[in-house]
Amino acid sequence: MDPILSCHNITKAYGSKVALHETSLSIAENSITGLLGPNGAGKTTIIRMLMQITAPDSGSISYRGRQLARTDLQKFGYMPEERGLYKKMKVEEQLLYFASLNKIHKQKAQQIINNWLNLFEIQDWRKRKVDELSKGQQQKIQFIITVLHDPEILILDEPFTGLDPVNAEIIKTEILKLAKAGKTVILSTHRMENVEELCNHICLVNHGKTLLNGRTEDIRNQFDRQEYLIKLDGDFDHSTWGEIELRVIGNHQFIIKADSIKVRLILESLLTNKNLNILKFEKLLPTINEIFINLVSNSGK
Amino acid sequence: MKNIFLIAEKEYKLKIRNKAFLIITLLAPFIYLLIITIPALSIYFAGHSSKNILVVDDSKYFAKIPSSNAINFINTFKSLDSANKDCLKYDSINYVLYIPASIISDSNQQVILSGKKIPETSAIDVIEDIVSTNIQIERLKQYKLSTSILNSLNEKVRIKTQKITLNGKESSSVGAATTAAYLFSFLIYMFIFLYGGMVMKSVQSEKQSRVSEVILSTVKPFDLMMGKILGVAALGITQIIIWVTFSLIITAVAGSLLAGIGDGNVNMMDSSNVQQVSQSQQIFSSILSLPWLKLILFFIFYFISGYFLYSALMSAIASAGDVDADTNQYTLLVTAPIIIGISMLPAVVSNPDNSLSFWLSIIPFTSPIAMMARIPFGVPAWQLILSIILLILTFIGSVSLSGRIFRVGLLMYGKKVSLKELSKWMFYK
Repeated sequence: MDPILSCHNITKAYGSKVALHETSLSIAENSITGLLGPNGAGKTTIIRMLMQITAPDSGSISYRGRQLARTDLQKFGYMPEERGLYKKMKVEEQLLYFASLNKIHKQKAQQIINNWLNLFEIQDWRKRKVDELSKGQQQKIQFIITVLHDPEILILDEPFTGLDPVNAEIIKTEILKLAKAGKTVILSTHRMENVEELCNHICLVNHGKTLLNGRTEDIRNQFDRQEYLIKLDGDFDHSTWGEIELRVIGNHQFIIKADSIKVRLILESLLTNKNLNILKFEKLLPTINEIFINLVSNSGK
Repeated sequence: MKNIFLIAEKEYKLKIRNKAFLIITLLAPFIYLLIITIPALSIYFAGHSSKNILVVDDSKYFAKIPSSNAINFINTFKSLDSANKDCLKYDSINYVLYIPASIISDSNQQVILSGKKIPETSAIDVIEDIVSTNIQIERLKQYKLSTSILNSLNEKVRIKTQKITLNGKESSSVGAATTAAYLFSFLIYMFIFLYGGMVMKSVQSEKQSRVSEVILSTVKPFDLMMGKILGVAALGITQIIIWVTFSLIITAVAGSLLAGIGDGNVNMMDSSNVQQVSQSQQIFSSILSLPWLKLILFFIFYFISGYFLYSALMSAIASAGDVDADTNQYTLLVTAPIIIGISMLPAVVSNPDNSLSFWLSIIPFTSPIAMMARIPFGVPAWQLILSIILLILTFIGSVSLSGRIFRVGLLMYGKKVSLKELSKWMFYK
């Protein structure tokens, strides 16, 4: 499937500091793409370019195969890392203001806002000023602002920071619901557990370059170290397996490294042994966290 | 374009509900009321607490010194000593004025004013004035001059000014023109600072609350800046309309009230007061003779252009600054020309046609103030046109340049910005 958004060889420098250098990446439609990278890798610059807040020095950005245009902005919902709301404005008034900037008719906006306030169970706050709300409560308002114009593409920069586990779960559920409804979500985050849980696509950037870009599953397979975890309920003499890389990690528990032919042989030998029960036989795929740390520390060298 | 108005509307609504703004807007006319009524009331009360002065006149030339509102002269035939005793005895007698016998012929003789308290300067001034005028007349009388000559000697010369135009002579008054020059220039200076500062605060709070990035993903930076500038302009116009309306009402009401107080005192008015009244009528008519429509139209133009010019620059500065201290330094840089303009105001008003005044009224950064100070005295058309064209070009330039700085500055955090960097931002894409 053609990507919904793609960057082609984009370069951006702020004075002498090069933020992005001939970076290319693509975002698949209807995916939840994790935009990953250490601090200062260029994630925010990429996001700001997608949002047309800044323009690349060279290279281009395309949307559905054509040049991204200012009029496309309406299809985007953006929650920046530096969140901000008008502190002195009331919740409802603020939501209506952002709706009007997004050219939503007042009556329709009111209806959408009501739905979201009900969904987040925060109807009582509508007449309260923003600075009377807690940080987590403000975050919910911020999320509503991001989605109230029903954007096709959601760009969420660190959407879970400052949220307690309960509220983080609520937002997570909403993100998954939106993806299910056909939206494309770009998620920039440092929290790898969120990436594992939510993202079916990944884009890893470092030092202004794309290191990885593709389906999460494919990437994990790509970094497959051919390791298997085996747990048995008794002792087993593994010398019968011949020469093999093996790490004992606990009582009757070890990790082996072997290609698929050898693994088949090992599994057969275990199954034929009547004195043993196999408690666990699992292929160990690297976590996104491991891939991230591995790649980032290597690319720095 | 629609977004500019939405932003302006929001800016306007948010500010107009602000309590401090409401208090200032509603309180200012009352402060104005105090300012205009205090002098009038003080005259009124001063009139009621007039001083009684016992006159011991050994020279016999001052049989009847005319009393005024503030001072009541009472001649006595008692000696100075017994008059002084009376003064100590009676509260109603404030001072004793002693005029020695040979005061007319001997200029070494001294007039003495004594009292329970040291006499206040205002009283001394009035008494000195009256007594010395009388002495002067008596001394002149010794030269056997006729009363008509004496009167003509006392007459003051007043200069009537006129402006010559192609349509003939227009009566004009330097006093009225000077007043108008100061008034309009000062208003422009005050409004640019007041409302420019308001735009600046608004940009700062936008940046501090970090809402700018959310907004900038929906609207263009230029729209955001213009929305803020227009919103504050609308607010300013509302405030000015409220002030003008209230002030007119207050002036009318206070005027009729004070006139009532004046009527009660009409008997106490002496000839000098009547003279003052006719003088103030003259000033009033000369103020009316000023080309008001022209003045107001130019005022509106210079105010709006000057406001746009400076508020755009101020919003750029506010967007670039990270902490208030930073911003304040650069504000000084931006506001320096306008401060120069206002500090040169007396020079411009006293010499509206010299080369300093000319340049100040042509250079766009000072022209809103300097030109407004010159217009009441009359300015050649080509100078006006040149000044207007330059100002319009500069404000367009300042708005687009500030828009460029604004765009970058608003998203820049935790960084001290140098002037060199500011100039670089103008060329970013």
